[in-house]
Amino acid sequence: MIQMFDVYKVYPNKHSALTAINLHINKGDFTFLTGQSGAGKTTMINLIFCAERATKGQIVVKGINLGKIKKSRIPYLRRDIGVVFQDFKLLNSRTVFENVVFALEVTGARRAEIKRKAWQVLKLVGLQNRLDATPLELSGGEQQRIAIARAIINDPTILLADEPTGNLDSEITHDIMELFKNINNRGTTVVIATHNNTLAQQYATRHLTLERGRIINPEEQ
Amino acid sequence: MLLYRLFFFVREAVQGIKNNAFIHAIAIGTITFALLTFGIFIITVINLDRIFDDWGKRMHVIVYLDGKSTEEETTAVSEAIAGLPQTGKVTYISKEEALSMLKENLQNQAGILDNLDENPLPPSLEVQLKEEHANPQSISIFVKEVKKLNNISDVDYGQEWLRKFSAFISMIKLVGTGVGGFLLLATIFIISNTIKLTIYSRRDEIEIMKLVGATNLSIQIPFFLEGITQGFLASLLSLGILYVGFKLLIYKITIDYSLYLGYVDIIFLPQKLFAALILLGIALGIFGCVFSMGRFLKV
Ligand SMILES: Nc1ncnc2c1ncn2[C@@H]1O[C@H](COP(=O)(O)OP(=O)(O)OP(=O)(O)O)[C@@H](O)[C@H]1O
Ligand SMILES: [Mg+2]
Repeated sequence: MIQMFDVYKVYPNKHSALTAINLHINKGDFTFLTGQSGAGKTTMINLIFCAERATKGQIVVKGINLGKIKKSRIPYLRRDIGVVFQDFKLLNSRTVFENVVFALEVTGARRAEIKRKAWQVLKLVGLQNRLDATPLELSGGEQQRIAIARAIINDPTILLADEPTGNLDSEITHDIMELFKNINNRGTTVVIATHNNTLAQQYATRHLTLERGRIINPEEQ
Repeated sequence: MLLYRLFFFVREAVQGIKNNAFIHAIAIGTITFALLTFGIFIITVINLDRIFDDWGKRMHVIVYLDGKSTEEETTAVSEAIAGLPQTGKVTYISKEEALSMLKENLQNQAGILDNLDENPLPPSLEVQLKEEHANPQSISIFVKEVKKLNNISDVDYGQEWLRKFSAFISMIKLVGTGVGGFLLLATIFIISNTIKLTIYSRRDEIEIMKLVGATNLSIQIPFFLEGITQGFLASLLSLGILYVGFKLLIYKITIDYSLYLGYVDIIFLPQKLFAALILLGIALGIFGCVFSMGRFLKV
């Protein structure tokens, strides 16, 4: 599902964020990517959904070689990859419903389908009663649930989460992890980047550890 | 499918205009100002041209004959002129008629003419041109032909007037084009900056749109719709202002200057230019978008 072959990422400021990365994440894996701050977790996530390009090496996602993908095809790839961030990235001027359906609207889905799917995902994340609230009226955990709902409304094959519980307390963190687990059980490949090792040990079926841009537990593969 | 997308784009555009009402008002004001200037310029030029043409129509050419020419020679000239394609009516004015006309014009100062030993005025032919040739260009061609004839001392057709007036019109056109071009660029610059501001204020939205897989085109379309709306509203506004201003001014002009205007109706924009001004407004809006977008859509 996600493969990297000898991947390097050097930022324009000459900073080397990833070095000689090889990995193979299978369909249905529940993978954790851990490491200290600055280890390269975000860089790795960004490479997978084409927010950054690898400096060297090959990345293959869903059989598509990202080094060769046309710029105009990137949006279509992203419709099949949901992404969740630590800071939620919600539109605070829009309601919960509007935020969640945003991803469907830009793809030109029908109104009836949009409503049906919105209902489905909001029910899955447990927010079906807050459709008309705006994000700022909700708690952090609830906001992250909206972001997750938005990320999965397109039924993506891959769900990426970059420090999704970084702003949440431990109880809510576990709720969110259960939610990810649920989504994973429906067949979605999930990759979660976090500095929280304990969390990874508790939930991961795959666990990769980064240290200064290198994977230090390759034997896991 | 397409219809749903269109709804989405329109909703996004409306949202954008609402969220940045002030910026959009500035942009609309700018385009309106530019279009107003264009409109005033076009109306002025069109009407000056019409006045110019009308003067041509009412203008006649006076061919002064050589005072010493014989009656046969005079008839020959008269016939030659009558034979030119532009000639409508030819009237012969003898020395005596010329003098009495002058006396009439001078009215109570006519006394100064009493001391003359001899009538100094030459006989002349007053030529009225055919309607289709009664315009400045045809007149000058006609005059060139007439000047080739023998026994003519001078040809008078108010050339100084025509020359000055046509130079005046050319100058207005030149200045208008220069100012217009500058204004065009300035407007595009201002619009592109207002669009930049609205893009900037919606950068979160754009980031998320990219994240969830919106194509660059679908991100751009709402902004284009905003630009088009700006241009359209501004062109309506400027046409409205132009029309009201025109009506007020025309009332005054026709009363104060009817003498110079003759029988010319001062007209507002012809339909074609009316449409052109609206299209120009829309084009300005679109151009403003084009110049502001590119940079924001990388990645
Ligand atoms: N856009 C960028 N330009 C230059 N250097 C960058 C950029 N993004 C990240 N880096 C550098 O690359 C390294 C890896 O950064 P990255 O964000 O991937 O780390 P991380 O593991 O996500 O850290 P954190 O836990 O703090 O989020 C860091 O040293 C960072 O300074
Ligand atoms: Mg990070």
